[in-house]
Amino acid sequence: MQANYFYQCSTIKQDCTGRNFGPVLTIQTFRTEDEVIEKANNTPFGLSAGVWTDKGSKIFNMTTKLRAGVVWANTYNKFDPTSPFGGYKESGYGREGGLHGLTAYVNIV
Amino acid sequence: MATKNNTIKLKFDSSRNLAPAPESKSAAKINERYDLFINGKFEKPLSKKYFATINPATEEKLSEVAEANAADVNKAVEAARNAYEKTWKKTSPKERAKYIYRIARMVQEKARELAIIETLDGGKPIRESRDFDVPTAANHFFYYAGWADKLEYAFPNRTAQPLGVAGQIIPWNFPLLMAAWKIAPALATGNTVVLKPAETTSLTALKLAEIIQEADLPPGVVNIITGAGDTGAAIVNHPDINKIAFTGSTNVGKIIQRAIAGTNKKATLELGGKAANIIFDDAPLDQAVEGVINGIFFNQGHVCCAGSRLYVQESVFKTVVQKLKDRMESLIVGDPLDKNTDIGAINSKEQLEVINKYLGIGQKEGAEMYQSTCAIPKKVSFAGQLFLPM
Repeated sequence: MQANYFYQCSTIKQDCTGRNFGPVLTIQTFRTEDEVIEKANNTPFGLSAGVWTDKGSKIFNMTTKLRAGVVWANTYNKFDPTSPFGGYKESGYGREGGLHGLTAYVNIV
Repeated sequence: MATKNNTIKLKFDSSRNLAPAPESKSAAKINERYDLFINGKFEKPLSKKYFATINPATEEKLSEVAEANAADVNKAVEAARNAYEKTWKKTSPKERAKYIYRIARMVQEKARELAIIETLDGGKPIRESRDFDVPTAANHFFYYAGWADKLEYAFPNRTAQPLGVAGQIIPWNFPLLMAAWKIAPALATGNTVVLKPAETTSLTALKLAEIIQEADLPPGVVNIITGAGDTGAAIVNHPDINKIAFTGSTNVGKIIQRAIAGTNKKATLELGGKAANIIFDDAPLDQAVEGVINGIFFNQGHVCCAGSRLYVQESVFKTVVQKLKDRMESLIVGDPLDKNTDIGAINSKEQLEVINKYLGIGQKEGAEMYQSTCAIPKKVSFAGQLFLPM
């Protein structure tokens, strides 16, 4: 399996490689923050996202508007037992890891 | 060398021939056959059936594991229920913590063997199973062991009661780590467990069963049974299970949700993703490119949270694409057991077919495709391989 990526998929068909679950990257461009938020959220899934920028305010703006369970800023694929993990929308529900992960296994009375 | 976009081409000498540095297979003991871990013992399946588990990098058979049918699932759930009512529910939180700490330490002690088996059975690079999967799995046990006797602080002024028997179904991308994610919090809160690993990657879960046995966890508190979709369905539909924890595809997640609708079963579902990774023009681009590469090529992209959709701000698009291409050229695709390998084997033939299908769709829809020119090792079959026209 070679490493692959696609670029410049059309916006409507932005998911042109579907749920391939493999080493395949699709690339698109954007101009403004609002545009990329709309594009990034235009998916039935919402498990994670990444933001790369030097500007802290931009990070906070993005993390509040991206509909994803985890948003990494200036890093990616970082995992820790203390931080909850889980998705929005078709990425599932409930959280695992951290304090939230305990809640999933108890009745609280 | 300065390119058109005024970027400096990274000088990775991808033609360098690194001497092979394979991890030794002999450091891992794999039995010829594995039975079902029920009530603290390895028991022959009532189904009398076994299936082969293969190394996806070489397509060699590693072992065979039992295929649990509905009767086996029932036996495991009964063992878990019995252990919950008679032992685990009454075990003091401090005692529960001790057992979980013990499992965590034993995972650390057997880290090398677990990493080798994870790589043999799943195809991921040894570097990842050694440096990420196994240590993170141990960390999860340590972390939740710490909570076991502190639940009153986790839920102040309230009482947290265990649910009972948890049915847990885990995927093939991080087999040991997902088992730890599921088992550790369940035990810490006083639940008992019936866990089913994915059919292509059962071995590390079975090794964990051996660890649990050696740790002297009371029989039946953790039961590990192997099998494919039917076994999973039998767990989901079993009337005496109180909670389903599932990590896997959105399709199966939907089936599970339908199956447990109208029952008292609680559920957590961790399903698919199609994550956006967004690069703004003010980002440190080299760092971002590293992150994007890690985001999509970590574990061959078999990661539910893989950053598979990249959005690049228009002004830096060309630069970023060039940097990505350069960085991709330097990735080493090879034998998963080799310590130099960045990208190992696709987990199974079926998965490779899925990827190929989507590559076809992407090209049909008019996307431009780029593949790294790196050599695909001939010795490693990668469960079929892929060569697409550029």
